[in-house]
Amino acid sequence: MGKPTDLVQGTVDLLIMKTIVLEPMHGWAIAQRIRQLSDDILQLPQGSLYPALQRLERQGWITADWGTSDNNRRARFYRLTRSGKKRLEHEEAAWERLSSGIGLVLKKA
Amino acid sequence: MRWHHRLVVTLREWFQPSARDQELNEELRFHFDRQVQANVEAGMPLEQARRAAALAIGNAEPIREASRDARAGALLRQFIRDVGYGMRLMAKAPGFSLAAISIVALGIGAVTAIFSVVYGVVLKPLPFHEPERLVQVWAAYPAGRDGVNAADRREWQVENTVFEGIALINNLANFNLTGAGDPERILGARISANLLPVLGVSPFLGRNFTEEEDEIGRERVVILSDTLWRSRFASDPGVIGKPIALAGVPHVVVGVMGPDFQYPTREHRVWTPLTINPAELARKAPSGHRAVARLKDGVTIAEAQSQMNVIAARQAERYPMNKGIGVELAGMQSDFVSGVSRGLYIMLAAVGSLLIVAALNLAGLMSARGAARSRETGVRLALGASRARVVLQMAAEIVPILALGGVLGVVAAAWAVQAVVPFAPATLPRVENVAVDRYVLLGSFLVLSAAGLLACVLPAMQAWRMDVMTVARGGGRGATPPARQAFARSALVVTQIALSLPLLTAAVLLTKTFTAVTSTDPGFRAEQVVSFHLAIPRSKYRDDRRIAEYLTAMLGRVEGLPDVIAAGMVNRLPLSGNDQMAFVEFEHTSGEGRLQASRVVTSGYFRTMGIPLVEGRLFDERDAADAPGVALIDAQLATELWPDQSAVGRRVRFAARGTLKQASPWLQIAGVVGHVKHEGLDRNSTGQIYWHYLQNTQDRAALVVRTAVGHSQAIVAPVIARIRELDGEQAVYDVRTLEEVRDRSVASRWLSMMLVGAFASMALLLCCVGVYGVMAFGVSRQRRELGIRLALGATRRAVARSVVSRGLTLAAVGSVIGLVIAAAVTRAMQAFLYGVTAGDVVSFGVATVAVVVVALLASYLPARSAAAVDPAVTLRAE
Repeated sequence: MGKPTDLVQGTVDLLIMKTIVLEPMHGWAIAQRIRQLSDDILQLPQGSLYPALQRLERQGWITADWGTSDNNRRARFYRLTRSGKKRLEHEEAAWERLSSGIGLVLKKA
Repeated sequence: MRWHHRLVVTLREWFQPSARDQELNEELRFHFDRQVQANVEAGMPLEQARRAAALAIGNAEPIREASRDARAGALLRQFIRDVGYGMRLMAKAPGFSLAAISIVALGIGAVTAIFSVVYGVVLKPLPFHEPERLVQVWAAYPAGRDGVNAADRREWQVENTVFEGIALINNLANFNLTGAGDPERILGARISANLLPVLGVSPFLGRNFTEEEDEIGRERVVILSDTLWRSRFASDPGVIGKPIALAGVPHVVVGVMGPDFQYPTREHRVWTPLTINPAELARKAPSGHRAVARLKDGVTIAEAQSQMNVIAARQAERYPMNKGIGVELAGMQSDFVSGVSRGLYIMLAAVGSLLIVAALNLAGLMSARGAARSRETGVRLALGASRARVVLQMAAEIVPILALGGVLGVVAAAWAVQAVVPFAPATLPRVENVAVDRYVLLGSFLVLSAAGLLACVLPAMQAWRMDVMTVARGGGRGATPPARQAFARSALVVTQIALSLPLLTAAVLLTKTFTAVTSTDPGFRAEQVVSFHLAIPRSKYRDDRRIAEYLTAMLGRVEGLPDVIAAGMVNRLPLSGNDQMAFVEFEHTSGEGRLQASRVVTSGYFRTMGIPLVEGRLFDERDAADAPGVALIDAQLATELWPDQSAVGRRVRFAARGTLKQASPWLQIAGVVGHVKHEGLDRNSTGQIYWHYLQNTQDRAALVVRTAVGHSQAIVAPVIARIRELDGEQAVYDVRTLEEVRDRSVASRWLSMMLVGAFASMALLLCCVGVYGVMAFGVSRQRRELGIRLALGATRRAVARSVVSRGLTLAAVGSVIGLVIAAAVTRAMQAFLYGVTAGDVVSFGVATVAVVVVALLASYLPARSAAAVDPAVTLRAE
């Protein structure tokens, strides 16, 4: 499988926010979804996931409530706040700009 | 919305950290279970699914740690926990803690106390409105500065555009206050009506003087100080408008000042209008007053000075008596303290050195402890604690020590200031203002933090540099400290020695100075003599004849007391500051008149004081008021004027000068007496002339009484009773034995000697601890090496000697650096020394020997324990 790509902090935040934009999710599901969507390229270890969730929560971009999971267990579901949605749009745009910039350099240089 | 979320989260994390932890734990457990379930669904057996999940998730502890660290206030919370840990650690090692706390308390206490004095005396703003705009105005003569001429000041008031006003003060106006209660001698100042507005203060009760009250004949008004108002008039506001008797003359009280107004000194009790003699204003009489002016807003001293230069130059052209006289302006505050600030700064430098020594010492202690715990630190680093975390914890462990030591130090300083201020020499201005106030506390706190930082740096560096592998492998015991660490600790000790040596040298120099001063022969015998001060009110005893009769009667009564061996009077005691000068000329000597120090005495003065008669005779009953005038001179003057001949029978007179239009008749020199140190033990007094009190009467007198052995205290009450029998309104003040007078004249030297001496001893003690610490630590670290050397045949003597010689090397290196610093520092002290020069080899030698001896002593115990190493035990133990 090779070494999973290291994710820098900003990108982790972006991925988490993007993942929960449609519906509230708990931590495990978020990690799972990111893995699936990236065809197993991106693996978000617990050690990065939970501190990131707490950081986002503290900044007010996401909020969490206890709910019941698909296997009938109590789980903490994270969802985007209104300001979190705005933040996500902003971050997405910034990412687009950055990656297209990098792409251009890689192609032309 | 977002802020609302943030606030809720932050508050929860801050107030319910454990609830937050539980949540996280539940979340992580769920994560694990869900992973296991997923693995099972993918077809793994349960056991394998669990193991795979655990492997994928890894250790949960770093997650908890990271999430805690990321939480609000986590750092602070952690730090508080570390401080708590530090406190437990402190309680577990009471010896170490006590030492460290005392070092901090010592340094902070000494610095706070001295800084309190320096701040209170030198730096603190004067208690007037915008004090930086106040300047002292002086007449600048080629020989130095002097009081201002009232006529000049009147013209300045009109011509200048730089001052809001120029006020005049006459500092010394003593009054006998009579009326209800005991007659009292009080110090007053005569002030021009504009002084209070110039200073920017107003009376607490009543009003200021008016311009009209500055005129002669209308000046019978007075303003009281707060102290006098409280003590004598029971804080009665009704005192305004009532008359009080000053010098036997009724003065109407027009105002009372607030307690903050202590001008010119805290001793001043009343203020009366300064009336200027018309002859002074017409430039027909000499005039000299202190002057204070307030600069207009925005005007600098330099600008004012240049305008006053122009005005003074114009006056010098216009009036012959102004020729060569300029005007000198000086900021009031700097002027106030110029005489003492240098001495205080030296004291501050001394205490600063002590503080640095203390901080270095503390650093050494902490670093030794750090090294002893290197294994613990190594284990923590190996288990994944970050270096920053370890260093932060070390810092946190020092905090309780610094806090406790700092508080103790400040308390000690407050106590010391309270205890020392009453002993402060009278020459120290504003000493009553000295207190540990918030600026001083702020200063101490900054100093404390700096010292703490210094003490933290070294142990922290140690932790930072620590090689985890070495510690883990060596087990932290056998590992010899890296050479760099040992070097750092030695450097600490060397620096302490280098800083202590100048302190010691200064202490020795000051002690030698003090000994030299106090062993100087004052020219009189102070033992068994008591002095009483009297001022005779001219309103009651209207002419010189009556005053002289009164004094004669008083002497007769006092001499009649049992236990009184002799009694006499002088207008001014020896060792009481500047001399009183008379302008005289001696018959058949070259030159015109000369200024000569002189005093007025009764016949019994010399016998009472034990001043020897060298030649001729003393004053006696032949010398009546109307008899031919006589004078005595002292041996120094006699030798100076007539080196090879007798002075007896020669003649002296007051030369014409100023108000004295014509020289006085000649007075015959009847005898020569021993020279007396009049201006101070450490000052070279000039020769003296003595006049007879019947022929040259003064209304000030110090009565001196020699008593039988052991009666000098008991005689005070009877003497005062005898004086009061004669005149119940006579104030008697400043009653002191002459020994006390002598001691007071050297009080400031005593104080600086004691303080610097105390600082030096503390520094020396700290050095001793420092050297001991390094040596003992070295020996305990090198037991194995020492064991090998002993096993290979080294003698115990040689081992011990190697330890001692290391201690001596430290002392030697420190001393060499210290001597260089001392040479530079003591040069700045030259002005304070007497009977010894700043480069005194003996003082430097004594200080160096002290340091070396201390280093020897401090190396002795470690050397002994090095020699006691048993190779069989140490080698096997490793």
